[in-house]
Amino acid sequence: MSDFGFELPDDSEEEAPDWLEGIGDDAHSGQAPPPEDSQPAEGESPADDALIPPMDDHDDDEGPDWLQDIRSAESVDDDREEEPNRGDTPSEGDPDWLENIRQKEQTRQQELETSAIPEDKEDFETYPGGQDEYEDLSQPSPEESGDPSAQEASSPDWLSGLEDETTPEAAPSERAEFDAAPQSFDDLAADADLEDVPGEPPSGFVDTGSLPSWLVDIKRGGPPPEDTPPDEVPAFVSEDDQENILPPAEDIDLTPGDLPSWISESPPEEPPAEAQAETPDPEPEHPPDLARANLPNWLHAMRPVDIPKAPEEGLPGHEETLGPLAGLQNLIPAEPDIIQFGKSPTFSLKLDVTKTHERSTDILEQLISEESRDRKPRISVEAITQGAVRWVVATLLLLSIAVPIMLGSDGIELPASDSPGEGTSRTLELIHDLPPGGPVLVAFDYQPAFTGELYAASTAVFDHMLLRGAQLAIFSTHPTGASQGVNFLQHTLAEKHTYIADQLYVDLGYLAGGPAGLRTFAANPAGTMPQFFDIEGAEVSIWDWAPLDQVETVSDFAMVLVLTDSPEVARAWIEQVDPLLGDTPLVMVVSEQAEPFLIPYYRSEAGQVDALMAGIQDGAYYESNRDSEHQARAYWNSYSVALGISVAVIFLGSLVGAASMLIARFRRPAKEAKE
Amino acid sequence: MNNLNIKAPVSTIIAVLVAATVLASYFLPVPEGIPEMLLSAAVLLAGVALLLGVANLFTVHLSKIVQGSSTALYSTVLLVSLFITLILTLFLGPKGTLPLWIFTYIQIPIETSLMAVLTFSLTFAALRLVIRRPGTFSLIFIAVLILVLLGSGPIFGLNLPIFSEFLSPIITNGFVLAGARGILLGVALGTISTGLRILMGADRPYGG
Repeated sequence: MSDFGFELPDDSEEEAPDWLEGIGDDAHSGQAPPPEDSQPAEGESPADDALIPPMDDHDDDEGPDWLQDIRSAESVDDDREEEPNRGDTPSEGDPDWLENIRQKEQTRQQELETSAIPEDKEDFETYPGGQDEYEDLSQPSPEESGDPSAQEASSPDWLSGLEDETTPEAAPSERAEFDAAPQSFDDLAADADLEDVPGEPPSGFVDTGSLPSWLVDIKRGGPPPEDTPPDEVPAFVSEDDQENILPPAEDIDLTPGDLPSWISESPPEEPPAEAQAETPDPEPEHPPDLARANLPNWLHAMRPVDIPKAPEEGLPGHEETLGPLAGLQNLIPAEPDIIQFGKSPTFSLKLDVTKTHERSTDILEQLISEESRDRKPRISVEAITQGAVRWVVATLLLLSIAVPIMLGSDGIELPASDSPGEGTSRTLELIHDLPPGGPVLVAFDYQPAFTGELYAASTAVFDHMLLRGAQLAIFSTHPTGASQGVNFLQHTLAEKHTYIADQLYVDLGYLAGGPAGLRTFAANPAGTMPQFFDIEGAEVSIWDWAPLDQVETVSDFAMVLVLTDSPEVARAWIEQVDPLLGDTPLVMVVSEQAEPFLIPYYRSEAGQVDALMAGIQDGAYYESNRDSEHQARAYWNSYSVALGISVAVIFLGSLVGAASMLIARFRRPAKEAKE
Repeated sequence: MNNLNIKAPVSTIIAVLVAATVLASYFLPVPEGIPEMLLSAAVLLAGVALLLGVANLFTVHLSKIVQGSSTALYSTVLLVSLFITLILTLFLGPKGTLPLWIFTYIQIPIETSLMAVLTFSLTFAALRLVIRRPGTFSLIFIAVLILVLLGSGPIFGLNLPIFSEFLSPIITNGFVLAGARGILLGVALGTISTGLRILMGADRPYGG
């Protein structure tokens, strides 16, 4: 049961706002009004109190005055909403509907001027909005006028319905409690002497100056004030929005074509029969010629274009014909609408075979049939050709080497002695400058496979050194090097230099350790490679005997000659021994394959290698310059012929290969064009 | 404690100290005799390593003979040759008649023949290069090869100065020299980096 004399549903009571329940509780419990010195709580302004209208002159059957005002305001709510600007002064650019409202208000004002105005009107003109308040209050309320039709017309439908339901059921006891409770803030203020509070508006009126006019109008429910300036628009309405406010309802033409389908298709709600009987026809208040609404573009774009219809679950009038529910109507169908039984689509079983597919099938069949056939091993023509060419090349090279040797050394002349290589000339000079009997360190650091090449390159050099009276000390960093030296001296020069014997050269043997051994030997030859021989039963150190008795370091040798086929070994000599050589020249006779890696050391400004000879050609230059015939002369003819044969074979083979390559390139486009 | 490898830090310390001492001897006045002593030890160790290599070779091939491997015959020939040469050299010395005869008439011809076969193989490969791998770089390779060969000497007794005195020196002293120097610089940088890594213990080719 509500404190206002009507009964609300239970859920309505639960959903009632706190302020409403608070008022009801206070009125119901009859609590004493707040004391005089009580101040509003923080955040609670006097305007909040002013929002509550007085309830002293309310009709018990109809509720308090503020509620009556709300009821009356509901009746003109539609007009208020369509009147965003209620100024009396017409301005340029105002729409027609605003002019209509102004004219209506002017007519009403003229009617009000004819009625009597209380004398105390002047007391309230000083308050902001007081004139409006007074004019609103000067009009008789529907309740005061006693016109039931007006009262019903001024109350909203929902409230009318509630009144109809609750008013007859109000209990007398509750009504008495309601009467005993302070019905308004006037009563509360009277008890608490709130009239003495400075600045407090008199009872029965509220301070509307701090309230927007639209809220005052809703609260009072009176007609729109006549003298409200046109700029009294709610603060949340901007100036731009004021111009775009919707036109009056009579200018809106709500044709079905402009409305969304979901609106146009929905059936109009029929009010209850009682409401239809009590609610006046709004037609007289709204002009029949409603203007067509101008929807903004963004709203027009947002409206639903096509709303699918919900499936009709319960078809009205549908009667079930099968099952236990047979005979019942408006039942939900057992099968959803989306399940439809029909004939399944049929597909053609005929293969769509194109010519490309047929061609691919033929190729596959051909491949399979060829795989199943027994094949006889075939000897490729290429293998036969390759083997024949290999034999031809080998035969040519063997003949080119063997025939000149069998024909003798005469034939092809050695290179001209006046144009030897740079390294060969430097070697000649160094050996020519050797001191007589000077010790020469010779390193045989090559593998036996390069014996022939290095024999041809170095025989003339050894011949020249021996003729200069050099005392040779041979050793090697290769395990077979010592034997290489002995073999070289005994088999290449023994016939010409019959004085060569163990007593005329010193074999120091094999030096292990690679670069480390070379470094050690360069710093301390005697300590690194101690050698002893027996002289008349006494062991004598080879380093105490001529020519090595004056050698303490490697720089004490008259020259160091290195024979090698390996760039790494030559580099080890250059890096480990050359820094300790001092003025002792370092001469290298190397294989042709090692020459490119040693030329930088020879051509360097530091002169790490003083002379460099490579291969049989430099040996031939040396022999030609020395006017002697040694191993280079013996090999020179074969070398010249085999070199020519090799060049011819390589050239012809490459020529055939290039021709076949060009032919293949020319044939390929023609073959592709044919295909 | 069982997994503690004592050998690794000890060998690393020894290697780093020896390497640092020998390296410092090139730039700083290190007490005389210390670098030479270390290098002499390295030479002795290298000689011992050679003997260990021979012993390992003997063991491997002996095991092949005992196991009856398919190459047991070759292993047998190798071990017999090793014993004969070793015994003759030990008793007669490296300059003895028989050891020199074996070296002069067996080892040198065999290795020289292998080099001669290499000559045939390289010639035949050059012949088939353009046929098997036709292309621009193959043609360039063959052209350079022919130019260098023509400049290496008289062709059938005919001296071709345009090749021997002009084209071949351009290639040898130009492109070949530039390439060789680049390779040597790379080798030098690699040697330096390897030495530094060993000095810092980052690389331990000695194990550990």
